[in-house]
Amino acid sequence: MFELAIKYILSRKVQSLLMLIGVALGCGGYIIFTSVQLGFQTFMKERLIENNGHITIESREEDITRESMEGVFFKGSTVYWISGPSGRRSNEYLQSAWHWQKRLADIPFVVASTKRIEAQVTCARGAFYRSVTLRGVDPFYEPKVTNIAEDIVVGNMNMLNSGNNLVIVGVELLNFLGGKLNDTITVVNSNGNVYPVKVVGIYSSGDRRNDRTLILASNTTVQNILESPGRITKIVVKTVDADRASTFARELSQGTYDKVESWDEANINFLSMTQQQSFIRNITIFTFILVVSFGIYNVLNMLVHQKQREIAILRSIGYTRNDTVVLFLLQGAILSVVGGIIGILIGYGACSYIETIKMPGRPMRVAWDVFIYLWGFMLVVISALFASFLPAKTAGSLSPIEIIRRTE
Amino acid sequence: MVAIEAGNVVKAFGDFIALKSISLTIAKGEFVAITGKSGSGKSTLFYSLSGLDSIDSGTVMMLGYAIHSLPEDEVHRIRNTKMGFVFQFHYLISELTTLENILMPAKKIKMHKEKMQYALYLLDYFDIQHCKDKLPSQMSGGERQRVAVARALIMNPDIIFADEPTGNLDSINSEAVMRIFKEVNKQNGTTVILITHDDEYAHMAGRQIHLKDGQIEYDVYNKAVSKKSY
Repeated sequence: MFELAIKYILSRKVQSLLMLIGVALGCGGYIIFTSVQLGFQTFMKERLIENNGHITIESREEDITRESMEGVFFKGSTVYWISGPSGRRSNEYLQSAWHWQKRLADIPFVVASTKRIEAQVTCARGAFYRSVTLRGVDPFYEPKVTNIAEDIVVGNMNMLNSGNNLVIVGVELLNFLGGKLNDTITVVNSNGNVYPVKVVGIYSSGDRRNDRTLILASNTTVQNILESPGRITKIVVKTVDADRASTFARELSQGTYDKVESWDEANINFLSMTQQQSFIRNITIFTFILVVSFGIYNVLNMLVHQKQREIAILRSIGYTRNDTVVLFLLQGAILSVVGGIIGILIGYGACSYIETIKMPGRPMRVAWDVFIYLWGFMLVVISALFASFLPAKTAGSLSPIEIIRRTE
Repeated sequence: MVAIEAGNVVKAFGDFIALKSISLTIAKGEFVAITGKSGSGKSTLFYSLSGLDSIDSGTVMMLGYAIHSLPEDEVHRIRNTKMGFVFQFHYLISELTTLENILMPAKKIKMHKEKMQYALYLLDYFDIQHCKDKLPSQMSGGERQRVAVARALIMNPDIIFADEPTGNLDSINSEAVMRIFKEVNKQNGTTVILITHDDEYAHMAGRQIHLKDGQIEYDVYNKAVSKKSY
């Protein structure tokens, strides 16, 4: 049957070629579309994770209620409120940072953690000033948790530890201030106190907003500027698997009042966007595969009608219904397998090319996952087999005597 | 030895009864011509006897098998190994060469390599060796029909069913095909059941069963051609 299926395919070259092109484009299209989209999503995810780790632990802001005020005034007495308390209470600093670090050190899924202190300040040089985020980091632990250190284009993270009041400034901010390496700029805290700091490094993350508004310093420097010695605002955690960060965060939040948030919970819009992208991708692929399947169905259906006499003679010389079903299924299978392989090559070639296309700042990101290729291949093969099944079943159900009577 | 034994075979198409309780016996090695006008039921009888078509009542025993009661796989096995069919239209597979077409029945049971020599012999015997690698579209009508006969013979069947095999051929090719049937019948002892409109070809057979209105009008042996064997 295999040999006859091949002969049938080769005997109608144009139809077979069109089917082959359809299958190859279906498979290749799936691979290109999926690889580029997943590459983009991975890039976006990495950008989000590289600045803030997988999980952040911060103090929780809370609504003030009657219950939350219990025991604050008149301890042991019953208090009747004429007008209940309202408003929100924020704990700017993490109260139990030391306990957290001790706890995190014993948790298997935690790879590393680092402390940060962060606040809005105004930085100025001459007549130029701008409101920025002053971020205190631990130069030793920060590179183990985030990729910020990789974006430092002049100097390095360890230089922050080589003295007091040393900072690394985003390239855009430094340009705005008209400063350069080793210049001194001033930082004004919320109390209006002015602190001179020296620029010992420059970083460029590719994200202009970030590069315009972020200053890195050591935790000690920032605590000094904010006049909050020993305080920190958050702990950033790296886990063994970024995709399971929300599960880990839930586990960490057990038994604590602090706010434990995973990167995906903190960027819910990103998740919503990726889900929408995946939905659009699936709809597009489904439509494409449907068109290819209809093409295969039509060609094989026509073939079954054209080959009725031959089906009759096959049955009369001892070939069974199943043999005729297999004959037509095989044609769909052969074309889909060959088309799928061509599609894989098209997908691989196109993805290799796309990866060389320069986008602003960096080359285009493409996902290289063998499962994308396998799934693309399987998708077209299964669709083609499904599309071949109905014509094949029709061929199997034809009665030889009916065909012969019609022919006569 | 009996090749086919039919008892009270009835076949109807709706209200029209095509075969009205036909009973007959065909011995092994007989050359039987089934004749009759259009609508007499000869094709229906032919297909009913061969098992290609179902029957409404009665029995057909072919080479000892109740052909209409067997499981489908068994019927296909018998068709493959014990029967050969030749139709008015050659029904060759247009994508296969002559040799490949002839070997198709053997290929079903993966005996095509063993049957290769016999296929070449048949090509030679039917004088179509020059067509060995040709496609059906590259051959004449007579050559195609001879290929169809060779395909029917490749498995050395016990019975050959031929449904107006000369219907689309000119007189020269018709005579050549009939001569082949005669020789196969004579040399191999193959039972040949032939439907024909042509009286001349019917007389070439050893026995003629003539149908009229779904019944056997007469069943005669042509002693000048062959002796009654039962």
